[in-house]
Amino acid sequence: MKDMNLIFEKNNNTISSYKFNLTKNEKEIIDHIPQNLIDLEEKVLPDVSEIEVVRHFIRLSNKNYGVDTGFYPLGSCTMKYNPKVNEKIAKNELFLNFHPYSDNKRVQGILEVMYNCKEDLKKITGMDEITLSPCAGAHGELTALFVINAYFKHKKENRPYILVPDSSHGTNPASASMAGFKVITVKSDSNGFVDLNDLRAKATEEVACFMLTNPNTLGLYEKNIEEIVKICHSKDIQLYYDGANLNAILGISRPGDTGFNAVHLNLHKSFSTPHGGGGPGAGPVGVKKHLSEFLPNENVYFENDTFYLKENSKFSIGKVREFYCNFSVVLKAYIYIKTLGKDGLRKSGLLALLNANYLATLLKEKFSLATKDHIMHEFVISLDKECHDYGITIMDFAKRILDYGYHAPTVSFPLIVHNCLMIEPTETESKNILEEFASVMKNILEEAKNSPDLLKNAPQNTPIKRADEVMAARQPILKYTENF
Amino acid sequence: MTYFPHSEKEINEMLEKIGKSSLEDLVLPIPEKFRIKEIDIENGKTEVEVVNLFSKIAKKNKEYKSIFLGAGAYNHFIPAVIDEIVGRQEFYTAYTPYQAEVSQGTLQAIFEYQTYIATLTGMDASNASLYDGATSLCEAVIMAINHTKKNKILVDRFIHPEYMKVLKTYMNPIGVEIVIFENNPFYFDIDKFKKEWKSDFACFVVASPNFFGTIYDFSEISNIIHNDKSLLIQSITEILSLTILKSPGKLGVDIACGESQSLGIPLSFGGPYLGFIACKKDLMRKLPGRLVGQTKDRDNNIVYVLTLTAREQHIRRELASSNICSNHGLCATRASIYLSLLGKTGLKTCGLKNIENSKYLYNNIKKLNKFRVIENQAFFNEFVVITDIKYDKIKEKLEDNDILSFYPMEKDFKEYKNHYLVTVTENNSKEEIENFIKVLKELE
Repeated sequence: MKDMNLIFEKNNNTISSYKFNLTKNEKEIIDHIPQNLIDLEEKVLPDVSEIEVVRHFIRLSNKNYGVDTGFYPLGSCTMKYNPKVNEKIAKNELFLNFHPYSDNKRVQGILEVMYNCKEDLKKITGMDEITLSPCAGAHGELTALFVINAYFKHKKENRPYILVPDSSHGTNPASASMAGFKVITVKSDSNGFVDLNDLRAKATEEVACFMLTNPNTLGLYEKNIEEIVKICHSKDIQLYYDGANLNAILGISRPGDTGFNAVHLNLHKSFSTPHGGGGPGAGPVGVKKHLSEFLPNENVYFENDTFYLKENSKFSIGKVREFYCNFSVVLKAYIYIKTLGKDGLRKSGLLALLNANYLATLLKEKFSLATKDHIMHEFVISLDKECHDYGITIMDFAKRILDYGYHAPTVSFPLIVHNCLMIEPTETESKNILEEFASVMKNILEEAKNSPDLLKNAPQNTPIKRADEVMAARQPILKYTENF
Repeated sequence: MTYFPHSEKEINEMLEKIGKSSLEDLVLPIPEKFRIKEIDIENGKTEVEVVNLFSKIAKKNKEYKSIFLGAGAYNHFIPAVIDEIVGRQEFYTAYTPYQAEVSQGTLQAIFEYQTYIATLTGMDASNASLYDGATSLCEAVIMAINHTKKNKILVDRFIHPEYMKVLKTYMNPIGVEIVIFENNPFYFDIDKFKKEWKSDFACFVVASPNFFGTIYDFSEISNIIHNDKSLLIQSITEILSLTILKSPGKLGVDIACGESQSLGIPLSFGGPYLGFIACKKDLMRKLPGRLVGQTKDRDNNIVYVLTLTAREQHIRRELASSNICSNHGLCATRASIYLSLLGKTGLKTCGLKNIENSKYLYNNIKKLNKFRVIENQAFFNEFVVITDIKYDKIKEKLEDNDILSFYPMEKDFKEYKNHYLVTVTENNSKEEIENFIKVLKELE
């Protein structure tokens, strides 16, 4: 298959090739490197003019959908508006052009941002210490599990197991495996809450940690949270807060007060930094005092009127990444915290709840919610019956949503609800948008009943038609080659 | 300042519709004792207040006039085109491209990125990015352990010291033993390697250029390693070196991994950067993280999708090849734009310019009385300088002249007292280099 739209097909050896001026000839420049280690052979690289490169990427951008394009209700992804002032400030060269090994005295502003962000996040989560090092939510989970592993090793306790609910994000069990633990799944009860009897049976002194998302991926706040905390703490099982859904309780409740021992935050979710088509994010980890000396070694401190990075503890797990943190992401999150302040953050939590509940109420008229109880910032609808009755797949339904100019919700997750959509509107969407979206959803339901082909052939109004994912996986083509 | 589009009237209408009398009713599922009234942080600010505040904070940072330091984070020129394009909301405000039909921009940019990385490394497949060079090394080693089912690894001592620290953090909980290969930092000690290599190692990890800047000739070792069905991993902190050097693929490497911050990503005090990982075909299904593949849509047009997702955490959970979910996608898009813009000619002249500039400094330092270089060190854009002048004195002098350089090797490699790492890139002008030499002379 030859895609003529790829940059590699535009190679025309332009007279305007980008270049750097050399004063010596090629041979002389590289004469100190053994000949057998050099390879100046022409590689498959394009050589096109600047305007063509620019148009190429603008054309690509036109085939993308972002939060600024429209409603993006991906459940558990918290696609809120990314404030432009954050982007602008982060481009300031006085933040951008510093080498990580710069002298302390030269980066006092940068360190101040890190330190103050860390202190504010402590207050927001109710934790005793925070590391800003992890690069993403999953990296935060892994970091926290390394910490918990070190804690029990230090206590000379053998605890090889991690508990995760069956409704958990896939990163939880995957992180547990990477940190050397074995995973035990805790069942949900018929209402979508953690099954307490199952938890009691599995919460032994061989368990290091229970990883909980609260509100969970069904959008439910664990109604037995006090009992869960009690069960875990009675066996010294560390209770972990997966911060993917923190937006629901921002300014309303703090994991640290509830009894969680460790937490990660997704700055690219709750704190408005952009997702960048997959990243970069940042996944700071907060812990209670008894775990703090095991955190990654390097952290930011303030003493004698000076901010500095220091390696602090002999019990530390070590480093989890090169250098200290994803600074520009931390900066944007900190700008967001300063902009909204205490009232704004609390209001954002409340309006996230309002928007989700409003949309759920509108959709409930025609769709079946996966849960009976009071939902928080997101919810799951099940289309299992409709899929059977009308001979459609849940993917057909999701693709039809794209035709109406919206991004689709999260599809087929959590795994415990068949044929479901997981919807998280966030607080930055208006009443109007929610109403429009609800009416589109109802329209599609009618279409599913009366003309299911509209769904089966969807999408029609997008830059491309339905992509064949099965074909892609059968014989993977992961790069361009000259001769397909 | 807030970003909520609601009016008070709308909030009330919405509350009425859902049957609640106030916003506070929405928090009722949370037990009262776990609720707070407010967070103990400051009140919000207007946009103008925020801009002023951060401009004040930014001014507390004092830029260097010259950066002659790399050591894993490189001061390269960033063409204007990059910010212009990644500043488009269609790229930066999108999520992971789950819905291919509205994400072809991200998907094709990543497919092109994968092609570039595979090309530069001489490998069959690259993933869609990882966090950074250090964690990409950990992922590569995990691939090797899973592939070979061996639980011990041999690691060259002169990989980036921070990568070594991260590797130890990752390996310790899973009980993988790290054996250090005491190489020579200035040439690859093949005889010693032959003595120390054992068949029960899952892999050998080598960095080239290594932390001392040396380009190693390790072309002989891949046969030895492959005879034992083990893997050769090359860690690279400076991906631009591959514009000039023989690719890992041609050196018999099975997994190439490292840091590609050099491809148009700002220094930003250490992050976010861009981890890359690429491998030979038979290891492809063990790659961590996202992969973009080519396929067709229903109109038979060539399109791009996330593929081989059965390796990933959201499907395989505890059996996944990695826990990676978010990666550093926008940094990969930056790299894609950088590589497209520079192209064949730009990349080659960029690589050569790095060498030309660093060699100019190398040759001039050689002429100084109190500074020495290593004769015949094969390097790309960083090399080692030796001097008996006290570090504090050098540091003070450089700081006074707004120069960042002379990374003390003693910090991580105790016996290398008086050894310093110096880096020069295409971004250092001739005047800067001349001035640096002048400042060093004044130290004599």
